[in-house]
Order: sequence, then C-alpha cells, then structure tokens
Amino acid sequence: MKQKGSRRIEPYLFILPTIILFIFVLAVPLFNVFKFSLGDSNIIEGFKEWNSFENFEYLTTPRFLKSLGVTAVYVVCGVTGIVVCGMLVALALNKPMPLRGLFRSIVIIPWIVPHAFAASMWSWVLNSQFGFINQLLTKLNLISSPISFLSDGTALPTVIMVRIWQGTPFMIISLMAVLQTIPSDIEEAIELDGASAIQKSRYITLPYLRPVLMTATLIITAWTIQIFDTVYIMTAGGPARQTQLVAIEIYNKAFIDYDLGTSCAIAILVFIIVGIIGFIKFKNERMVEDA
Amino acid sequence: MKKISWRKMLSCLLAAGMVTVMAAACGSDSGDSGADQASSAEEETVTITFMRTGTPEVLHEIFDPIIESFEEEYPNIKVDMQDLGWSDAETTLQVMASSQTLPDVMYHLPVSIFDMADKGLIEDLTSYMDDELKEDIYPSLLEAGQYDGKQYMIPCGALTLLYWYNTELFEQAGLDPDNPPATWDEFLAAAKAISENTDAAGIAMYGMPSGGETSFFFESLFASEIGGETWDGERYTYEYDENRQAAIDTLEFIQELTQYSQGAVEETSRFDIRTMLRDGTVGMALDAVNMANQIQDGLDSGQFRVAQIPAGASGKQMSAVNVGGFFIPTNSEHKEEAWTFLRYLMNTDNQKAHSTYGSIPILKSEAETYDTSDPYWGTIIKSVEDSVPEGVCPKTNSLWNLTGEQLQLLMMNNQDAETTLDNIIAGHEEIYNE
Repeated sequence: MKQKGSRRIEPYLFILPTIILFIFVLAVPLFNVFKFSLGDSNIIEGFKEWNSFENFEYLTTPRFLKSLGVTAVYVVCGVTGIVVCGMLVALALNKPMPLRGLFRSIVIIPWIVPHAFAASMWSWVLNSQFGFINQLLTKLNLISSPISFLSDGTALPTVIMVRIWQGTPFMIISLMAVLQTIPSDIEEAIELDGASAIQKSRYITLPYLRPVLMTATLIITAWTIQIFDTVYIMTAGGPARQTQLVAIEIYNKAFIDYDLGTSCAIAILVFIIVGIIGFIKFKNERMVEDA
Repeated sequence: MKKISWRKMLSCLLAAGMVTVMAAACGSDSGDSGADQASSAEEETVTITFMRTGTPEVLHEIFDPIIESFEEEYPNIKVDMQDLGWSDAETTLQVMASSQTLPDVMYHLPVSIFDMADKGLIEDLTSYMDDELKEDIYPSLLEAGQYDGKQYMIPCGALTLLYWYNTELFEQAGLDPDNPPATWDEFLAAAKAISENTDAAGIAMYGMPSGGETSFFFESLFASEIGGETWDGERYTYEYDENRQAAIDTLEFIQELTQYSQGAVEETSRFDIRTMLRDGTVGMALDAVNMANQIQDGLDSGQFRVAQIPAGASGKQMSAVNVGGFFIPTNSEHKEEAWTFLRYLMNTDNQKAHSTYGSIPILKSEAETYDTSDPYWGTIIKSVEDSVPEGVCPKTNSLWNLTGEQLQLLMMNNQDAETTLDNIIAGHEEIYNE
C-alpha cells in the first residue's frame, strides 16, 4: 500500500521543480504584464490604479499602427530572406565538396555572435563616413559618394539584411539535419528514372524538408517579432521611426516615457501574435506526427 | 562491511548540527569584554554607498583620491563607490528605485531625478544647502537642478553648446580664423565658403539618435534666437506658441545648415562629428565641451579653436545648458553622512577634478582657477555665464524623442520648418495632456 502511495506521488515530485520554476519565471511575470496593462503603471511604483483599458487605446493610434506596419515588413522580408538563403546554403553544403566541414562551421558564426556585438559591428561596417564597405567601394572607384545604408529609405532594408544574416544559420542547421536523413537509394532511384534536378527537389527533397521547414520558419518568425537589440543599437528606431519595431516601442514606452501600462498592453499584443504562431506550430507538429 | 541505516545517519547529522549551533552560541558569548569596545567603535563608523554614472575606469581615477582624503577627514564615514555604465543606467536606476536600493549619493540626469522626486523618492536638498554653495554655483545651473521649487539635484556636470572650427580650413576658404562668425548669417556664409572652396564639408551636423542631443541643439539655437529661456519652468512647457516665428526661423536655420553638412545627417551621431572635425572632413561643428577630448592636440597647436555659438536675431551668443548632478534618495539611512560627502564633493578642488570627466565649470570659484585670458577657457566660462537652463520635467524624455523625430524629418528635407514646428507643438500637447 505504502509503495503504491509513494509511486503515485513520485511523478509529481519530479515535475515540482519545473512547476515552481514555471511559476516564478513565466507565470508571475505574465500575470504582472496583464495586471500592469490594465492601469496606470510604472516600473518604480508598479500598478497604481485601474484606467478603463486606456493603455490599449494606444494600439489604435497611427503612431503605433506605423510601428506595427514596419514590424510586419521587417518580419515578412526577414523571414522570407532567412528561408530562401537558408535553403540555398543548406542544399549547397549538402553536396560533396572540398572543405565542406569548414564551410559548415563558418556559416553558423553569425548565429553565435551576440546580437549587441553584431549590431555594433554592422553599424561600423556600414557607416557612411568611416565604414569599411564605403571605403572599399570608394577605393575601387565603384562609387563617387558614400552610400548611406542607415538613412532615409535605406535603414529598414539594411536592418532586414542584418536580420537575414543573423537568422540564416539556424535555418541552415535545421535543414541540413533533415537533408542528411534522405535515403540515398531514393535519390539514386529517381536519378536513374531520369528526373531533372527540379523534379528531384519537388518530389523528394521538399517533401522531406517540409515538416522541419514549417517548424523552423515559425520559430524564426516568433524570434524575429521579438528582435530588439540589433535594431535599437543600429538605428534606435530611426530615422524618423522608419525602423521603429514593436519591440522598440515596448522599451521606449516603459523606459523613456515611464508608461509601463501601455508598454505591457503592447507586450500583450505581441504575446497573442507569438501565441498564435506557437499554436500553429503545435498543430503542425501534431499533423506531422499523425502522418 | 556493516551497513548504517538512514535513521542512524540522520540522527548523527542532527547531533552534529546541534553541537555546531551550541558551539557558535558559546563562542559569541565568550570574550565579550575586548570585542565590545572594538565593535562599538565599528558601530560609529557609517558606510555610505556612492554611484556616479559613467565609465568606471576613468571615474575611479577621479574619485578614489577624493574618497581617500574624505575618509581621512571624516574617519567615521566610509564611502563604497559603485559602478554604473551609461548603457544600462536608466533601467538599472528604475529597478533600484523600485526596490528602494538606490545608493546614498548618486549622480544622474534631471529627467529621471525629477520623475523619482514626483514619486517621493528623492530628498529635497534645499535646507541642506549652505549659502556659500548656493552662491558659488552658477545661477542657470542651480536652477536646472530645481523642480517644483525644490532643489532635488546639486549640479556637478554641465554642457553648453559651443562652436568649434578648423583654422586651416578657414584660411583655405578665405575666412579669417581670428574673427569667427558671430551671427547666423555669417555662420551660414562660412559654412558655404568652406563647402565650396575646400574638400571638406562646411559643418558637421547630427540627427541620430532622435532625442536629447538633437533637441538640445535646437533648444540652444532657439535660446539664442529669442535671447532667453525657451522653457516655462512654472507650466513645464516650451515657449513655442509665444515665439512662433522665432522657432520657425531657428528650424529654417537648421535646415539651411544641413545643405552644407557632410550628408546623411540622420545616421550621424554627436560622437561621429567629433571624429569628422578631428580628421578635417568638416570645417565647423556645434558641440559640447566633450569635443575637446577628440581634438586636444589640434587645440594645443592652434589648428582648432572654440567660440561661442553664433547669435540669432536677439544678438546674444547664448546656449541652453544641459546638467547632471548629485542627489540623495529618501531611502538613504544615512542622509546626514550622505550630505557631508556630497558637500565635500562640491568643494572647489574636488569639483574641478570631477569636471575633467567632461564638464564646463559648475562653480564660480572653480572658474576663477582658470586663466580667462586664454581664449579656450574664456569662451567656455562665458558660455556658462550666458547660458539658460534646458527645459526638464518628468515628461522630458518623451518631449525630446518627439522633437528629435521631427528634426530628423526636417534635416532629411522631408518637411518644412513650419510643418515641423506644428508637429512638435501638437505632439508635445498630447504628451502634456497624458
């Protein structure tokens, strides 16, 4: 009897540390975010008083909607770039070639470089006055005046490019892991049948890649929505809010405007969007398992 | 081998634990007579914490000797200096304030200090200040540390906007380095002459990041245009409505200057323009005293010079003054000792040492130690004498951010001066009413 009782408790004891950690690390902050969003709040005093959903009104202002639009462009272009570049590089590195191991190691460097460092590095490389790229292009007589990479109209494409540079290694690693599991006999068989490279990709490679590609894309999308440090260091949201991402908006509201309530209201919106992505990912995984 | 049951092991551990506790208790009882005297002497010694935002290595070089001499003079007060870099200062400060763990004496900027003062977290230092200190601090700086009629901050670091120029490029452009431009028209003409007659751009301009730096630039020129304060310190609003045309003229002047600049102004920071002036890629720059660190050799050799910013319509060469200072939080348990230390820091010699970190003189007695016949010091001291306090209130960060964004649009030629001013006024109105 005693043994039976202890066996019943045992699993709960094992998951207890995780539950405690979950409560402190996730549930408590999440509860606070919801609480702060419902009233006048700031970091120093916390929640002060209920304000009839006033914080959520900011989400309908043209100022915020512009940030949302900028974020949408950043996420769509960034993720598309990561998927395309990731797939191309993964396919290339899957082919037998000399120094393949070295190349595989090199491509993951952008992923392991801390975001803050990467942002500072790119800011200097792309600087219109002192940047390496402008100096190189000028020396090669390819340009007569410096290119302003972080200027009016160019800042957003530039930070998207840096995002693609940062995110592509994750896609490469994920896809290469799958590419190596494609049985060689199937590839040989389709080649013997006279299939073209496109047909081989369409009927063999892509079906194998699809589940991981879907999951990796959703993860990258969720990460990209939350990007803050890289863009903040490179442009601080400028010029004139052209790179003002929602994550920067959250920071500015909390620490510049001392308006934690609105900051949390924006955070809830991001939470919902990322939650939907997570749900789609979960459904996708279930479908793959069922298949 | 004989197995020891877990019950036996547990009882042994408990017994060992009890013995340890008893031994510790006896230990604390025994030998009291000698230790008591030492501990009572220790009890009288108070340790206060001190934090100065900035680069720790440089700050320790300045403050360690000051703290050492302070501790010699006040043997019952020990000072524990803690470090805080600028990059994470704002977030750390707010977290410390929320947990009531702010150090006994701290340096920071008035926006945060006044916001915390609004929440009752900052000690009003009005009654602590002696007349000698009040009279020694320049009036505009003293005023910049006041909020709601109370002295929450003792200014100890300040910046005015100064005019730096390259004498060699001046000569190449056919300008007289001994007679630098004193009005906006002359300034624009000089910028044009340098742009057209040399390989350098006329003036270094910066628009990134949007916020305090560019707002300060605009506010200083606006002060010079109207010849006085740009900020209503009672209503906590800018004086744009009352001086609408002057504000438009100031914005137009900024836009005109941009055409003689290095270009890509919106991606250029205040730090970048220092390098540009040093390297001779621009002929002139409007920047704070921090510029001197970058061009010190050139200043010594005469390649670079500094003057007061040119005068607007008022004819007064004046700038706004941006101030940082010391404060004592209400959570301090040693306010008297904290004030004793703060006051010590404000002694002429100590403040002079502190100013080497990058500040114009704060104290009149400090200014007297410099040779005002030296054009460099003469200009710098005149700039603080003629300055007006920069407008600051708890909402200033938001106001600056909005102004900075509008200035970026202006400098990118995406909108004219009038639209810029209208947007600034409308945006500020929304912030005032929040």
